[in-house]
Amino acid sequence: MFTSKKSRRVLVLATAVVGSLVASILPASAENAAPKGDLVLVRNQDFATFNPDLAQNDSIFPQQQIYEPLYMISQDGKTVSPWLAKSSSQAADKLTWTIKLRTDIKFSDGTPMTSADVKFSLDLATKGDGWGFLNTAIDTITTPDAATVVIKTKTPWAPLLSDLACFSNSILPNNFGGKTAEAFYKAPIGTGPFKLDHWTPGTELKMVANTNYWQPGKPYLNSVTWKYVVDDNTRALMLASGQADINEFPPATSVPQIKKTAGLMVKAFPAAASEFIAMNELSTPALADVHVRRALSYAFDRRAVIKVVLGGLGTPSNSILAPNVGFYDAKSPGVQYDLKAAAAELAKSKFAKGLKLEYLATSGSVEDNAMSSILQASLKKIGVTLTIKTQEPKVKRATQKAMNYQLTSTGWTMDISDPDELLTFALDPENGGTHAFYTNYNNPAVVAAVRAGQSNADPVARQKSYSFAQKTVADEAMMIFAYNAPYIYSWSSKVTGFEVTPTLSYHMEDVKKG
Amino acid sequence: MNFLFYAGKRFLQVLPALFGISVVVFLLVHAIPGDPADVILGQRATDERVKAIHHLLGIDRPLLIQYFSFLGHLFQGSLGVSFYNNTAVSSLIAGRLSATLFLMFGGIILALLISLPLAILAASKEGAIRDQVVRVVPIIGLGMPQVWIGIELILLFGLKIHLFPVSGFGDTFLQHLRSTFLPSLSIAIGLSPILIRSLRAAMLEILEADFVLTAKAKGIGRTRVMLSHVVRNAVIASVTVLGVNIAYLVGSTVIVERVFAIPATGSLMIDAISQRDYPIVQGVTIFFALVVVTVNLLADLIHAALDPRVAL
Repeated sequence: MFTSKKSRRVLVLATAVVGSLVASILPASAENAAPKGDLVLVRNQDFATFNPDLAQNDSIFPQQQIYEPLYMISQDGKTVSPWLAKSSSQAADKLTWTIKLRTDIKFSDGTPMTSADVKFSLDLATKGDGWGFLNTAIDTITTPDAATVVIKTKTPWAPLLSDLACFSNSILPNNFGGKTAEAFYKAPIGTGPFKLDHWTPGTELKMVANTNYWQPGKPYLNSVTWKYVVDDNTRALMLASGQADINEFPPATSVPQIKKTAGLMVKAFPAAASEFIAMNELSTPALADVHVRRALSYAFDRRAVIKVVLGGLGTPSNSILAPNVGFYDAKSPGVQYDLKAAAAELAKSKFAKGLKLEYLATSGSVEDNAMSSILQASLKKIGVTLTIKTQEPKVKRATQKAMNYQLTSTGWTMDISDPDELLTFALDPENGGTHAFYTNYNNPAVVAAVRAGQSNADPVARQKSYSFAQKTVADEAMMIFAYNAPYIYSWSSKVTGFEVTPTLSYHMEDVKKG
Repeated sequence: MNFLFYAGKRFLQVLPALFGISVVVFLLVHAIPGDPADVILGQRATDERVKAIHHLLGIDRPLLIQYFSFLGHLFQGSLGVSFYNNTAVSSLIAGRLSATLFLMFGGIILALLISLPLAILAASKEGAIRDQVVRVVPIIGLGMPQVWIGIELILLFGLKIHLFPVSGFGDTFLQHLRSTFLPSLSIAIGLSPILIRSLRAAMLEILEADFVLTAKAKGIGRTRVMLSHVVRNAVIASVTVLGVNIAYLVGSTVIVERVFAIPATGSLMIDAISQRDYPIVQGVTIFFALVVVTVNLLADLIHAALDPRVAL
């Protein structure tokens, strides 16, 4: 049929074009199916900033969809694994870490990620006023080549990889991609699965799929929108009506109802979070007495609070660490509810004839109302009069920081897998910078154990140090370890692949809708 | 010339008022206990980090310097930048103003649409059963919490009938109208009882007026008398009642904004107070103070223009 040379050339050319098209399309369709589905997540916190150094829970989780760190926390919250990094090794001097980077990573604008970006980001994070404290051990960062970063620490520093997995150590383009910091944070670029579409403060934050994402075929979704909806009922109704796909933190008491609703899913994800009642040891001589503190801790009916506040979805704390934190010791004794033991401890103290104490509670807080009134009722039975004073949240916080309280509720959510973040903050008054979680607790043996845990790379030795610290502070009731509450999320059954880590981050690149 | 002198005098009188407002707002905001740095840094805020953030935000400077800086920005037309999300306060207000206006005007219009027919129904036969019903039933609306009314409306019209969206403000004018219908209705249900009572009382009074008796004597139909003479005069009287209840209306708007997740200025203010975001609290207050002062000034000037005796 094709007799002329011209016709044959056309046929060959057409075949080549079609062939190359098919060749290029087939693998792509197998690995990189076009993202589809627009997901809406409703939450009661308004997004605040794209600056990782100033991010709190309101901003961390959305930020993590744009920026990524070198290491990623595991689903159980206890370890980390390479993410933008390929591998790492620690030199014999225990101070030098060599980190090899993946070479297939691109920022969402198509620019390849190199060691220069990593050095810039980590140096920036170390200088940060917000989360820079996590990097205080870092001495120097050098870049022998485009795919290698060498970090030298001032002292041997076991939590380094965990610290690098924190969102605050996310990798940004070198020198903000040539922009000013202010301009960059208004139009951020990252290596994450999504990129910014628009942000309307007080309303919503929308991200769209990053087509340069390094994980083949991901993200599955076309877009994710975080909507700020304060009212619990409204969020629930939005989910029920299909206006939202995921509801962050529905009240625990609503879980049974959600479970009965067709088309909705609900899950209580284990959290690396703990609720405490702090006792200011210098506020009154009674709280400096370990027997009084133990009596108060024994008198606190944790299960009653869990029932009232969480509808039973929680566990009494036995340690300063939550069960989903690395080096948590399940055998930590942790004083538990026992009124007889409470009376016996009080009898051993100098305040056996009774005493008066004041509990500073957060106004309008269901949790604090339950905790304070349940403790008040128990203490009355052993001759301790507890008066409850309430303050607006920010005023209460200021009062706590000024150390003008006796007992008050407080809490903690881990940001890294390593216990060092909390233990230094809460137990090392000198390095933590907060009078040991505003309690004035100070036990040199515990401080030494926390510091030993930081510097020793051997996991067995670290466990020994941290178990000692956990047991000692539980025995001495440095705080009342109250309970561990899960993170509750509900979502449409059309959504799959949604998981939350104990440090409260989620991988939206794994989520599908429809 | 007299008018120009009067306008100049009134304008000069406004300046001390605005200055006074700026001082009071600034002092009140800074007098509230609680630290913006704590909101930014969260629980990990140590004294050292708090100091750094204070420096970054400029709130480590003496109060007087901070005030003059605030005033300086005001003169340049800037209401400042949010501590919390680093966005210009003026653009935050501008972005939420339309939602506030939709809610307020929607609430007023629906309140009038509910109140007028019911008040006419009641006043047309004083003491009859329909009058008793109209007097009692709306009181229930007054006693129902706005949050509850809002949720019930969402359940019925949003979830069961799917007539209106459960929440949000939408993107186009028509979507705004549709999205703000239920919230406006919740506001109207709260506002109507007061309006019905005042309208009914005004109508009953006007029904006894000489000009109404004259109209009736002239043989004008009952309906025409009611609509042309009684209602028109009663509405004028009720506008004053509505004006007095503007504060209530603004308060209702804040609650309704929360329930229906509508981003308007009320929730901006509430969030800013709880976050100790001084520039937003100052900016929103100054903005509304400016609006009130300007409207009053314009009203005085229009009054003076229409009635030259005022300017004398």
